[in-house]
Amino acid sequence: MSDTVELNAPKTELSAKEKYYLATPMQLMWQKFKRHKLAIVGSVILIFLYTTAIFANFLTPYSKSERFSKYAYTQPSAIHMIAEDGSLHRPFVYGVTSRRDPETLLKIYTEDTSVIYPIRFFVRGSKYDFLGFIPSDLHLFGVDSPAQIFIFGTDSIGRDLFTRTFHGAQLSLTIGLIGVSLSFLIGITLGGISGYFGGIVDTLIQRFIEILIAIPTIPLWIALSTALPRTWSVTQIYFSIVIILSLVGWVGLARVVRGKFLELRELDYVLAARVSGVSEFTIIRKHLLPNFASYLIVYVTLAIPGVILGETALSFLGLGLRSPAVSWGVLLEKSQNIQSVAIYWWSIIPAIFVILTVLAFNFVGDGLRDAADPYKK
Amino acid sequence: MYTYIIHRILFMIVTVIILSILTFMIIQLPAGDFVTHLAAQFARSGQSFDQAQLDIIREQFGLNGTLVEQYLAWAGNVLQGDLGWSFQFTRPVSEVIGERIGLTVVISLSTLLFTYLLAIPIGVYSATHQYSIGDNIVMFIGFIGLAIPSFLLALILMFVFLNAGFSVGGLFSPEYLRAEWGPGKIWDLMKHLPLPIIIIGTAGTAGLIRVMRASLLDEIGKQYVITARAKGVHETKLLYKYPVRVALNPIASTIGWELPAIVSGGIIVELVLNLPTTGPMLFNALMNQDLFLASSSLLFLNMLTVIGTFLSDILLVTIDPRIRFTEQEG
Amino acid sequence: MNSEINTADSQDILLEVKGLKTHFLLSEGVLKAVDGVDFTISKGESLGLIGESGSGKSVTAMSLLSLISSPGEIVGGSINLHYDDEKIDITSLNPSGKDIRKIRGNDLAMIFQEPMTSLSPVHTIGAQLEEAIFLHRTKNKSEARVIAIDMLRCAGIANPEQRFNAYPHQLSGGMRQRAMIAIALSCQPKILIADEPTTALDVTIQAQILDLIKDLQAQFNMAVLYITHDLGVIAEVCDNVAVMYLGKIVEYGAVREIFKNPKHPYTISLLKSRPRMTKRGTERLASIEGSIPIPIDLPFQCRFADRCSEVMLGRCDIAEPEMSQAGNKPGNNHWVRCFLNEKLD
Repeated sequence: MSDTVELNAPKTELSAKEKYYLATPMQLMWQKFKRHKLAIVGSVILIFLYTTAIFANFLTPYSKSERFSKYAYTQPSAIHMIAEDGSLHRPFVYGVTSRRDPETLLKIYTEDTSVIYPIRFFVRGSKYDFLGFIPSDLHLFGVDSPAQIFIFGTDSIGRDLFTRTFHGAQLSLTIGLIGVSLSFLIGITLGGISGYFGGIVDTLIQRFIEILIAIPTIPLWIALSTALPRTWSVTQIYFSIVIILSLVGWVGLARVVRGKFLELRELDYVLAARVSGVSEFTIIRKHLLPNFASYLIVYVTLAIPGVILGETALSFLGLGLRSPAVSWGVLLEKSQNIQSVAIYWWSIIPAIFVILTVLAFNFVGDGLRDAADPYKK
Repeated sequence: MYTYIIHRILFMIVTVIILSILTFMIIQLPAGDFVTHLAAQFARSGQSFDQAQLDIIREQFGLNGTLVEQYLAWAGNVLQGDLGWSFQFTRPVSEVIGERIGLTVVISLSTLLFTYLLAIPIGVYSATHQYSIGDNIVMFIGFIGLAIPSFLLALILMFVFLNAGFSVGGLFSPEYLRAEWGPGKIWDLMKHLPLPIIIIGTAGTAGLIRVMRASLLDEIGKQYVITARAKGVHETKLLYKYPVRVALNPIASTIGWELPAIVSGGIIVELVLNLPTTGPMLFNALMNQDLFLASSSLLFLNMLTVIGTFLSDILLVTIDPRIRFTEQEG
Repeated sequence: MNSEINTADSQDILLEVKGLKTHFLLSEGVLKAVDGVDFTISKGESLGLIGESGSGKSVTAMSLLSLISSPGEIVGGSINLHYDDEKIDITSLNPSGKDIRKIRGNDLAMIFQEPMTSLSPVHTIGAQLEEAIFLHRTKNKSEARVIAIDMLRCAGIANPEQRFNAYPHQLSGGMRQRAMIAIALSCQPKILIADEPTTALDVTIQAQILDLIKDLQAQFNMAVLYITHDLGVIAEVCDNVAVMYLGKIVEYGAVREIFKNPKHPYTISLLKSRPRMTKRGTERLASIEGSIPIPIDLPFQCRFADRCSEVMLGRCDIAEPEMSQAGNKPGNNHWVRCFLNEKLD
């Protein structure tokens, strides 16, 4: 051909523009996602939280049900580096002694500054099964007896809130994932059927959805949760709560999926595929699904915090997970009383984790939404 | 248009009937009934309670019949204007609800007003100042508002208000609690309203700001805005006459189902704040299987949702000429 | 250098664009959408501005009304609007100020490609038409209504009294464009800028709309600037044509002259890529190699060099050609930006 080709030919490195045109949609999504600073912050927070949930046994100094009856409602341990005499040490805590205030009858804890208990790393403590099957008693940090370290303070019966918050993450964080997976499964199936087949099936499913939507969410959750027998095991309750929460969640997804199906099946390239004899299943798999996969990812990311908040709210009301199960909602149940919050302010620390998680999911979801449309500048 | 409305009203009636059956069944799901609760209570307090007496109570309220019989009996009574008997309060349901519904309406409507009056101007500001410092602050606060569960916000704000010396919890100061309605009591109520309104409204406001911002940003770049600008229209007038007007359509139309959402979402907050409204009443009714109180108040809530959705659709049809047109065609 | 491009009597000049530069400040760099554009429009003239998508022709049109919004900005040049006794440089006016608003819709009006999206969906045709009339012609309600209905009739809309209360979606595409034209002409502008006025319409409607603009142009004695990528439109309605490539005008002249005797390789290939009726089916349509680059960080060379079949290495890739007069006849109003033309001298 002409000189034009030769002019361009010697280039071996792809220019930024050529990379843009050659990139797959997923690469483009990632490129855009990377530019969304809050989304990156959110991802880091989520990775951190989920990692700590997995390694909660190791990262915390105690086991989740370990009680220190002498330490009910201790405030968070102060971590010092400078001793009474002004000398510098590695981080340490003091032991505490308690006495009762004669007027309020509340326990008051004071530090006993005579002995220094340095924070030690990789200490032996209560036994646990690492990742559920490797027996271990190694903990990331701890202090020598008789002192104790309660970074977030303790609850009414002297259990370490730090330990329990990190263990609580296991249930609170997974309930979001499992709940949304369940909604996702129901939603995509019913939405897909509705949108793909249309006609009477579509009408029936749509009417059903319209009726479900009209049931107010919170009373429905409350009503269903009260029906859970008190005698059920933690696992049974856990999965029942998941099911209750997803009962509402799938409806929105089903609508999105149906709408997308209806919209996409009319598009020219789907018609083109159908005209060239591609089977319906292949059309769904190769043309329709990839097209709204990004929307689904965004939707799911933004739905997870809803489920987490749902569990927290139910457990907070005493209707969700119950002791001995530990979730953030369970930890917050005692905070229902404003008077106790006013005195034992540290008991709402788990709430910070709830907010952080929800924020992080929203940030990530937002970043994904912006990135989902890869060709939009 | 009229056939459309009649069609919708018929569907609404069917929906409410199905919903009432569903909720009646859900309320009955827990093992036992109110009488079992009552027996357990007496057992706890050490009083003996004779099985025959329990059966009499069951008989009296028709709790012995099958679910279908119970439902039909209740539904028949409701249609005649009798909402049933509350076991907990040992008074007619209509009285129990009647006492609380006024305050619920006041709180919900004020919350609705608060949400829209705050969210729309902020959303417009945010969209017209995209990526500015103000916009970033609004977006960040919006994110946090969405992330904080309402009951937690209630705790935090109560804590703050308590430390700032305000009276917290409830809707009346003790001295007005039993007082007759008068200017003093109304003023006292006004002083107590902001806290629950802010708490119930925050998440909704945050959400609405985001919707308003996104929808206005969508419209602001559209060709018709440039057309109007090319005519020489003043920028401010241009903004409110065209893109804001169009962006408001879907938002204005959500008012209908925003109200039931506020009522239902307010339940937990009202519990935490200990408000004399329908929320805590419904919660306790569900917890204690106060069958008729729970069914009747849920029926109200369901009707509110269904009617709200209907009004939303009608509102959208009225304010958006595009939709009006297709309805007439179809 | 090339202010003498148009030989028309300077008395007749309505609009004089000189060295117009409109850039977009993007995170990837400065996108020079319009990078030094000169042309003039005289009374009653029809000028066509032709180019591929991405050539900067629409940005040029928007710049004329100062409708460029962030991150875009007019960074250089002047747009002088001539009045009987004064000139106003549009680039010197505040883009959201009072002065430019007096010009928009009144002296310079614009119609757009997509008649569906260019009208507000929630206001009636009449309301949108009256808005311009209220702004520039009269504050009297009944008078405005009379003018508006008159304009609709002028624009060839049947039953203008009924259409007055119609919403845009109730009209067909052609009707909407007629309504759009009625709005644009309602204040009898000196110049109508028609940005791809027929691209979104059916072929039969296209001809009607072009005829309508032509008729109204004569009736109102206005100049029209057609922005298009369609050579057919140019041939149909324009007196002069400017060919735009990558932010610059590469060839300018009378339509007949350019069609008969194109000089710039780009113009030549544009004309070749046009389907013709002559040799039925025997000739493949010519296409231009490559695609129009994104004008960020362009090398200092002829902008068409990478796609040009006549490229002269060592010449076209080291410098940018200036506009020069084509042909040897003095007074020949045909200009081209190409080293091939300079070489002939």
